[in-house]
Amino acid sequence: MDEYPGKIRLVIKFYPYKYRDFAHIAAQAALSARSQGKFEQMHYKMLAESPKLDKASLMRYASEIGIDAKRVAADIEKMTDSATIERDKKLATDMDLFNTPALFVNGRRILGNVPYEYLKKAIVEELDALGKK
Amino acid sequence: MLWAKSKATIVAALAVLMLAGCSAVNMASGDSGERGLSPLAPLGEVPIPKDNPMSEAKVELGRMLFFDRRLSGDGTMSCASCHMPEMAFTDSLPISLNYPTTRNWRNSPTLINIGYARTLFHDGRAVSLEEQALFPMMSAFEMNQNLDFMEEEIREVPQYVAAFKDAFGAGVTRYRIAQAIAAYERTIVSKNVPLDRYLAGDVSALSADAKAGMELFLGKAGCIRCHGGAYMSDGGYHANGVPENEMVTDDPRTAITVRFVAKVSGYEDYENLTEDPGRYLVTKRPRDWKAFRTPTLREVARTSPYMHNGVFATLEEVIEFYDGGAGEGNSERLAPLGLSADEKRSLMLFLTEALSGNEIEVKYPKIP
Amino acid sequence: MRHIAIILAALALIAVSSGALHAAPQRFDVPILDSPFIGPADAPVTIIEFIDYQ
Repeated sequence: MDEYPGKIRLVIKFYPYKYRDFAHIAAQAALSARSQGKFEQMHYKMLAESPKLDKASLMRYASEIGIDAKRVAADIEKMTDSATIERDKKLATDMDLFNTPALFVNGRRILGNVPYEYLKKAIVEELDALGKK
Repeated sequence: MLWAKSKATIVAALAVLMLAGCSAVNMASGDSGERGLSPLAPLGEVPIPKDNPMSEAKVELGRMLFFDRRLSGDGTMSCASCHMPEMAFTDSLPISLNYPTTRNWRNSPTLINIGYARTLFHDGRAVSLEEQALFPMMSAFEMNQNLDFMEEEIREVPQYVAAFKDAFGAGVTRYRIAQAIAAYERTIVSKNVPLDRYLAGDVSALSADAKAGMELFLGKAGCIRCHGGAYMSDGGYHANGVPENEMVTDDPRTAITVRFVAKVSGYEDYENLTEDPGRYLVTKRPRDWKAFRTPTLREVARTSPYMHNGVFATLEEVIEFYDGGAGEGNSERLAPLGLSADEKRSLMLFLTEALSGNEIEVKYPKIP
Repeated sequence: MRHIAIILAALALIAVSSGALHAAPQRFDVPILDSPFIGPADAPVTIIEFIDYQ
């Protein structure tokens, strides 16, 4: 995204793996941060700190990015946004996605841990195609 | 008729010329593959092993199992996960998909025409489709399943029990699971590509450029040396010095897979291994160090990325690689080819135009 | 005559090679709905990522 400022919108959908303890609460933390206006910061923070995503750590990250950690904790207790998370999960399984990450670049599906060059190629192709049109 | 005969004569004559010029190349027999150069030819009927005859019931059962995620430990992976029909039965990734939390270390090869392959896997460790099918199921970084457990999972499904009775007249066993899958795989065939029509006498089947590319394939570029025969593979193993894929050598999670495979293959120094030794893990012969199986080139346009580690994203890169004399220290003593830009383009067009058939239509089964 | 033949062959070649080499990629219509995103809403390239943070 740094290489092509303003050209890419990254939409995040949550697909926590069923056997991972913290995947669900991390997804909730992300949505919590969104409701407090700091989704982007929480997203990158959790990626950087992964897999240290237990509840106490999540609360700490919340404080570090300057949002209300207690609200995040409360959201996690109640799983306030479980509807969104379940909706995203269902979308993923309906589309037969069982590997994360799963990316769609203007609808083009790219699965798994692809090297950066591979992803960049798809992005450049999309930008070129739109540039021509 | 005359056309067909003269084409065949030209192809055979070129093959003989290539054979004559081949003496400098390592001519070791056995695993290096057939050394009589096999001319290009259309594919015959898929070979069927005597102990696993085909039947509609068996193929249908195999189709269901191929797409059934039950065959993996956590129910997320099926054979089709890494061999997706819509991606020419690969997953279009440099390194194939992995079981959650693990990393794979090799590229997923296409299953198109796999029934004609002499051995399976990039290191040829399986000699039949039946033998191959169970490996990924057991593999900790692929489907990670326990076969004893899997048999019971399948036995628990009434439709499967009935299907096995229908197909085998017997119950669910891991071997029959593999046999059914193998039977299905034998139906994944692409036969009547433009090259085949050309070889059969239809001179308009190839464009002029593709024909020029074919002459290069048979002559100056020398591809026929390993990619000959109807299946366009000598079934042998060659260490071409393909560059390492950083995803394999630099990723700590892949390092686990590298050592694991080496360990279970009986490689003594597995603790210090950081690269892919290829066929060496199977035969332990020094000449097989970093030797990998020659793949078919049929449908090659659809099966990028290329090589055992997916390190070349395009055919252009593959042609550049061989034009430069392949990799350093390659065991085949491949010399630079000196292809001009036009020649490279013609060769490319041959590979893509002549060897690509119609999209294989796949019926997705209803999994019980 | 020869020139025409060459031009026709070239056109045929272009037609065939375009088909063989540049098959249109399959596109999936993934509904964005109210999912959070980073970057401008009107960016030309939208990447939808299904993510497991752990």
